[in-house]
Amino acid sequence: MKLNGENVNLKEGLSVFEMLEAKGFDVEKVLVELNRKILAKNLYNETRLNFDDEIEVVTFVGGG
Amino acid sequence: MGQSIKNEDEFYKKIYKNVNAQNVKKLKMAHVAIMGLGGLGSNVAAMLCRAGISSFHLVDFDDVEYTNLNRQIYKMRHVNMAKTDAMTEILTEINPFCKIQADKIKINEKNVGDIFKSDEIIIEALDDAKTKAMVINALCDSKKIIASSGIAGYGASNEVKTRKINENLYIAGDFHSDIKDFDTYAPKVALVAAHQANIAIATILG
Repeated sequence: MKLNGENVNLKEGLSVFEMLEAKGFDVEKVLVELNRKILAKNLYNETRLNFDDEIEVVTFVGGG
Repeated sequence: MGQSIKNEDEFYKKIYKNVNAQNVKKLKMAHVAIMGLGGLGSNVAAMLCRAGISSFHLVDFDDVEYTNLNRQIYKMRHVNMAKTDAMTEILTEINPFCKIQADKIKINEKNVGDIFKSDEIIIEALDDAKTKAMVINALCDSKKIIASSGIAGYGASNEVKTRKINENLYIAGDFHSDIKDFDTYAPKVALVAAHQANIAIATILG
């Protein structure tokens, strides 16, 4: 499984929500791309990760 | 004096005399929404107006404060004015013939779809990380969004990048300088604003 371009060891079947929590992301400040498609926020719980998935997590910071 | 320009045609002929005519026409016909009129949004709006875009939808809830003036485009005379009014005034000074819809409204998950329902290209220039993530998640299926990752600080110009997430979503910023950890200064905010404005122009010109 790749997270932001790096190979990571994550349990297969973990939900996107669980992965974000485990990796220390603030779920309310991110945009998630799963295999180059943006994943809707309401699917974070039900979407389970596979070994060959590529995940990009864009984190937003404050300031404007 | 510039006041002698009588109409929009004359304005475009005089100001854009040395710019590719087809590009000027495309920009003049374009419409851009700007979500948030702080350091990013106020600079993006001015740059796009100067580039020739003539129609804007401006959305912000705040009034101009003294502490904004170290990095936002407003002037002393705008303090205590609604940012939507101050920005309308500034854009009208750049192009007296531009068309502006200004909404003084706070964006939330419930109203965001409705506020921007008629807009195709949206500059996301909000200052709160959670609201940024919320609106981008809410709108990225249906709109072209040119967003920012948040920005603060100074120096390290080359860390600022534009990331293309897909055809409809670009994000500019350095992806780590949070306003809660850094002071904000005019050049770095304007740098990210320029990235956003540049993508907007590239999107319009194709």
